[in-house]
Amino acid sequence: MTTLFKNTNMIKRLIIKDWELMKKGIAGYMAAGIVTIGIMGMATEITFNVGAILMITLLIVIGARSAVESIVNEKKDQTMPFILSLPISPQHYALAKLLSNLVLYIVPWLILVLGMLAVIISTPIYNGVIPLVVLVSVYILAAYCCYLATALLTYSEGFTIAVMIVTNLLINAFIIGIMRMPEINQTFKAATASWNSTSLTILAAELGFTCVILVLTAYLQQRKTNFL
Amino acid sequence: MNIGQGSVRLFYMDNLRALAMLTGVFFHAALAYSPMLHSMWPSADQQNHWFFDVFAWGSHLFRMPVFFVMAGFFCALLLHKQGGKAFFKNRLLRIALPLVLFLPLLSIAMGYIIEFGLEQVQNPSPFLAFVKTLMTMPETPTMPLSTMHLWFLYHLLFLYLLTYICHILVGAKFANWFVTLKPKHLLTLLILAIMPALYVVPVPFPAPEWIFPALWALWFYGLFFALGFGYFTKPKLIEQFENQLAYYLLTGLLCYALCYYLLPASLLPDNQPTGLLKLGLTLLESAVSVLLTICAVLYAKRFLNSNHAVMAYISKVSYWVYIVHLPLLFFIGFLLLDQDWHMLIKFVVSCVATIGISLLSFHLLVSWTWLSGILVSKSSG
Amino acid sequence: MQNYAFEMNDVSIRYPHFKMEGLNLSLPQGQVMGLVGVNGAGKSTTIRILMGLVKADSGQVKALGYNLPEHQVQAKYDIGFASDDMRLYKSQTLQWHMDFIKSIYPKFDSAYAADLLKRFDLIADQQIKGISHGQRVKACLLLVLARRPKLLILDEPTTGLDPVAREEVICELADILLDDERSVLFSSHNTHDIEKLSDQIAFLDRGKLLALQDKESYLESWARFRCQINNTSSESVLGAVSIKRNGQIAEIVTAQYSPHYVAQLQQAGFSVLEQHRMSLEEIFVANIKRSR
Repeated sequence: MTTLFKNTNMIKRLIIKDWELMKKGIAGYMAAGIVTIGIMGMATEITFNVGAILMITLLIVIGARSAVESIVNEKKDQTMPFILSLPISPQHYALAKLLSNLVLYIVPWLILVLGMLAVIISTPIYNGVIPLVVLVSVYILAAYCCYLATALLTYSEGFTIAVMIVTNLLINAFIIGIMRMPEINQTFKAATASWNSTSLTILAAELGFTCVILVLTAYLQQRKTNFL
Repeated sequence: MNIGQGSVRLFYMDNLRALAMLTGVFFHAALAYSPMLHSMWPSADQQNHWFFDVFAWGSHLFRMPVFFVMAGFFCALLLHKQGGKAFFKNRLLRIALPLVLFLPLLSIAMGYIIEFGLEQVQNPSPFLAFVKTLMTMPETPTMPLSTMHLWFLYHLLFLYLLTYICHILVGAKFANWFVTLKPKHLLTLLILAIMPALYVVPVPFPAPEWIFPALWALWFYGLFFALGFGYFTKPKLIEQFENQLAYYLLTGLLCYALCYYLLPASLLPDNQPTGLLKLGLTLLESAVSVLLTICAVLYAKRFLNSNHAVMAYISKVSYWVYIVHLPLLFFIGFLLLDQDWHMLIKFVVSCVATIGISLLSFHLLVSWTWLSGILVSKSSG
Repeated sequence: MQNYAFEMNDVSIRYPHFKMEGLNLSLPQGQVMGLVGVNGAGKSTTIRILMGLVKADSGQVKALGYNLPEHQVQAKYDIGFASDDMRLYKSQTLQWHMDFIKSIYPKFDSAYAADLLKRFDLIADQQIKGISHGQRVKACLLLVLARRPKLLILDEPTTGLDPVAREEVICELADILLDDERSVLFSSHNTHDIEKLSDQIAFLDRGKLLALQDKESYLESWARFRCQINNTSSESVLGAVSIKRNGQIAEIVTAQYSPHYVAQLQQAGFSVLEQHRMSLEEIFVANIKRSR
């Protein structure tokens, strides 16, 4: 752990490097994000729904692209030996990857989710939809963490894409599943957001799952003995 | 290497800013006596005259575009002089911080002022009367979240972000292409490019005050911002219009005359033009905006490019006046609603009192405090 | 006490189809070691262990006085590593890479980098995706050399290069090696390069170290004789690595050559017709054959 603090400069350099490599993509997403929030902000039912679909798509695409581009491709394009020849241990390299990807994902995720919540709160859209929006957004975050973990632990394009496909297919099942739950369904069209034990339990499970995935990834990375 | 206009003193920009700011105060003051906005403006007086509409909407069509041209110009200048990091810090301090700081304060102040209007004004405006009826309803509707007149700062932040995005994705190649266009072609392109943005909003285009970035406004003002940005790096972009400036001014004024003639008598949503009339009005609005904005910048450069003490002073205080003028105007407007004076006197009193109180408050609250470091603009040289 | 650039003591590692057992390899400071072996001999594994990228199952590894892999971060500040499977970021320019490396290594020598840029005929503002394999190898070397490492580890640096590019790279390396302080470990299956550059030769095969010796004495210890077989010729000769018989002629290779060896052959009943020094490549092949 002490070496970690001694090496924060190097971890910072690697995060900046990832930002520089991905900034073109991120710039594109930022533009798309502004458009998405602008569309949702038009506050009609159609624009809100179109904006919400765009937002989900955007969140999935951002996650998928960052995991593939910054992790899987580093192995595939054989740039990993170059980075690992620098004064960093493979464990800290993996940590830098985990951190840079999380930061680069969570920032747009937060902006888009908060933007969406702001639209709901400040428009005639039923506030009862808020728990559903939060649960789906956190699901997308958890799914992202799943394929981020897969990418980091396997560096395999095949496995990572497989996990992406499975988690993204399950999103529909997840939405339908929670929509059918009476506790969530009944409060859906209420004027105010009502959190009950069911929605809170699902949220806690999602967050817990996400934390477990991240901690487990970090732990397994530290135990790895063979890189390249 | 001297890129663009980084090393030239730009007095005309300071002077233009001062004039545009003053026009803004007159514009908002004039709306109280506008027949078209009579049923919608909070401090709308019983008296009104078409003269105020002619002035208000005429200035409205190019005043904010001029501000955005200047914002784009200074964005390029700052980036050129200080680089990305310093620019980011500077904008955070001079744009984001005042927005975060003053929006809540202004919202609270405006709440109190509207409450004062509702309770104290004997001859309420149609807007105040409408709000009063709403208040009697069992479920009082909540006010939508608004950035008020600070929408300018709010949208400016998005335009800075978009500038950065364009810098990463497009680079300078795109701007260079625009410079190669002939003046006529560039004008046509600008007017046509603006039309879709203005077509989706009512005429004359409203202020994008809502808490969300308005896409039409980002597109519309973004084009003027880009024009200003390009003007810094390639002065030819705007200076090429210099030769036929009188012609552009005349065309712009004629377009406005026609535009004003076609505008509905009241700007209530039900009276909005549709179909071909809407399309024609949008075309005229776009043409007026582009032509008069270019004329304003170039005439300022021709006639106002000198150091003038009064103008320099107004330019110095303009940011503060911009921030506080609207609640003051409403407050004074509400007080004037019950006065039996001629509307012209009321208009002059509201302008003078608003500017006077703004200046007084500047010297009492700002000039000697840390706020002056944020709100007082340095010379553009 | 002898200072070592790196020391590997009793290092073992096992993979499903490969094992390395009890490897002892060390390089005195200022020396150049050529690591020779066929593909799959364990050269890259050895180098990866030395770079802390693979943890050995057992044994001790030290580089520049630091235990590996525990203290690899400190060690890597003074180790320059380049390998043939190392790629740079395609979307970025060489200048971007130089700036990146410079931000990490305080000792990065920009003047030397500019000099290498000229000598290697590279363009700093060119994107990596537009350059040839040879230029890429040279770019990697530039990035490694300009940081002035105390220990240079090169894994097959000349593989896949055309003869001109290879010559350029080898000449540059030969220049660098004039610096007595710098130690180099240099793996290749191209024995000509190793022969040109190395002070020491290490032969690896199937995870085992077959030989480790200084180049001159190593080359001198090998010789090939063409002999006439007499009636009294014995079946074997002391010190012979191989004896190939073809009618009345025998070709005898020894790894224990000395001026007395001819007499030794004659005593064993062989009349020496010709005597040859061997190139490293010939020694390499003979050595591999002997070990299998």
